[in-house]
Amino acid sequence: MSWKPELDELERRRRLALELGGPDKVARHRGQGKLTVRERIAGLVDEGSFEEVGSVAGFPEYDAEGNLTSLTPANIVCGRARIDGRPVFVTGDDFTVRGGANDGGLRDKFAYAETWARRWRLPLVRLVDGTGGGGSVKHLETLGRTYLPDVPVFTEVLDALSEVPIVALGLGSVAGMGAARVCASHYSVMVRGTSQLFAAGPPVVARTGQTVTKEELGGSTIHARNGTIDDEVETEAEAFARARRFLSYLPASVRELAARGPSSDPPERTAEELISVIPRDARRVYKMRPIVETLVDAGSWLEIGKAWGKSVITGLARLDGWPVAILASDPYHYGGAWTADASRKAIRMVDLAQTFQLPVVHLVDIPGFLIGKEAEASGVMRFGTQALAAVRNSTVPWCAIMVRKAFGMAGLSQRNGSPAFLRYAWPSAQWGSLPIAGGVEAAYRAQIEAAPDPAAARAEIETRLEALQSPLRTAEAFGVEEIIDPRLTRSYLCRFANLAAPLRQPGRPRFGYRP
Amino acid sequence: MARNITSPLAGQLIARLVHEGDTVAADTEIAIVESMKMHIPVSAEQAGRIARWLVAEKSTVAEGEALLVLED
Repeated sequence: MSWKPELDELERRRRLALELGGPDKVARHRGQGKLTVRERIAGLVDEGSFEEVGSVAGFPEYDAEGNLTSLTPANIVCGRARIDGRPVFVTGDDFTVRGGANDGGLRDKFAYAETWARRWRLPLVRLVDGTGGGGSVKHLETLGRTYLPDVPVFTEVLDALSEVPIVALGLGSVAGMGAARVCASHYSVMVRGTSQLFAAGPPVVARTGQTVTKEELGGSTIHARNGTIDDEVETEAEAFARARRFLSYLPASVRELAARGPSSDPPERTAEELISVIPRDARRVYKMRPIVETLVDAGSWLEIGKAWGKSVITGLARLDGWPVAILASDPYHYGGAWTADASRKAIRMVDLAQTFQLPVVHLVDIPGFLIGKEAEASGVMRFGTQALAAVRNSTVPWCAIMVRKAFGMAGLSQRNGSPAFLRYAWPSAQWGSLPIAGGVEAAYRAQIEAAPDPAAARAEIETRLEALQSPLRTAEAFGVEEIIDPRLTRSYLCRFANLAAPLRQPGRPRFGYRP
Repeated sequence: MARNITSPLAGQLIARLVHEGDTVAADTEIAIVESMKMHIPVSAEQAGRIARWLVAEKSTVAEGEALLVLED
C-alpha cells in the first residue's frame, strides 16, 4: 500500500489553487489589462525554474464527512526561482482573491514571503498588486476591538534592504502597505495605465473633499516624476525585463560582491568625438547621455530614474565587465545644478552603490546648487547637504571625470569619503568655490563703484580672473591629479574599475539602508 | 489636437526660435531658456504647427509653465 491517495489529494489541492479567485474574477482581472500572479511569475523568472512554497495554503471548506469541497488559495504566491540562472525569491499578490489584501488572511505566509530572501541571502522580487494591510473595517466587528497599527515582520522587511537586493513592481492599484512595499525597495517600477500607488485611494480621499480618479491621484506618471518610484514602463513584460536587468548588476546579498560580467568591448577603445563634444561657449549645453553610453561597455548602460531629479542622470553600467554605479550631470536641466530632487536622486544611487559595493563614476558638470526663490522653497540646501553627506559617508572606490563645471558646495560631490578616489579633468573643466561672474560684484564692489566707468572696470576684473580659470593652472599646483585627453577616458575608467575591484568590501553597510 | 509645450525648467525665456504658423518636426528646438547662466534649448516633443505663443521674450517662466500651443 503506497501513499498515492494522499499524493492525489495534494495534487487536487494544487489544481484548485491554480484556479486563483475563480474564472469570473480572473476574467475581470485580465479584462483590466493585467496578467495573473502566476503569469507574472512565469514572465519574470527563468522558464521552469519556479519552485513554489505554500502551494496549497489557503482557505479550505470541508463537508460533514471531512471531504474537501473547495479551496480558496492564499492571495500570496511565492517561491524560489532563477533569474539569468541565479537564485532569487519571488512573492506576488493575487488580486483575484480579496483584492490581494495583505491583511492577515494567512499572516504566516506573508511573513515567510517577506523574510525568506533576507534569511537565505538572496534577492527578493515583489510583484505588488494589493491593497493595504488593514483590510476592511468590517474586520473590527469580527475582532470586537481595534489595535495599534503594526506589521509583525516590518522590522525585518526594512532590515532586508541592508542585506539583499529588493525589486518591487507595482502592478495594480496599491495602497497603504502595498504602496509601502513598492517603496521599500532598491528599485521600483510601475506600469503606465494599469498601476497606481497611494497612501489611500480615491474613496477615502473623497471624504476630504477631493474627487479624483485613481490615475489622477497616483498614476505612474506622477510617481516617476516625484521619485516615489524609480521608473515607469508601458507593459508588465517591460517591468519584468527591468527587474531582471537591475539584478544583473548586483550581488545576491551584501555578503558577496558583484560578479564581473563578460565584456567584448575593448577597454582601450577611444572615442574621437569626445575631444569636441563640450562646447567652448560655456553657456551652451551638450548631451550627456551619449557620453555615458560611449564610455561604458557597449550595451551595458541602465538608466534609473530618468523622469525626475533630471539635472542628475543616475544608473548602472559595466566597465571592462565590472558593475559600477554612474552619476552624471545633465546640463539641459538647470545647467546641471543640483535641485532638491536631484539631490534626493543622487542620495538614492550613492546609497545603493555603498550598500552593494559598486564603485562609482561621477561625470561632473555642476554649476552649484540651484539658486533662486523656487529652489529655496523646495529645501534645496537641506536635501543638498544630505546628498553631500551620502557622498562623503560612502567609502566605495570613486572616480570623477571633471567634464566642465564644479562650483560651490554642490561641487564637493566630485569626491567621496573613500581614500581610494581618483579625479581626471577634461581640458574643458573649470571650477571654483564661487563662479566669477557673480563673485566679482561682491568682492570688488568698492573698486567698481569708485571707477570712472564701473562697467568697464567690472569687465576688466572679470577678464583678469577668467585667465586664472584654466584647469592647467590648478594642475600645476597639483590641485587636480591629472588632466586627460577626453578621447581616452574609457581606458582610464576601465583601469579604475580594475583597481577598484579588490577594494570592495562585502558586509552590512554602516547605516541601515533607508528607502 | 492642440497641446502645450511647457518649459522643463524655471528661468528666463531669452529667445523664441519659431513663429506662429511654423510647422515643426519632433525634437525641433523652439525656445531658449536661461538658467544658471546657461542657454538651455526647449524642444518640441512631437511634430505640429505652432498655433500661438503664450509667453513673451524676456519673461520669467516657471518649471512646467506652458510656452506655446502646438496643433497637429
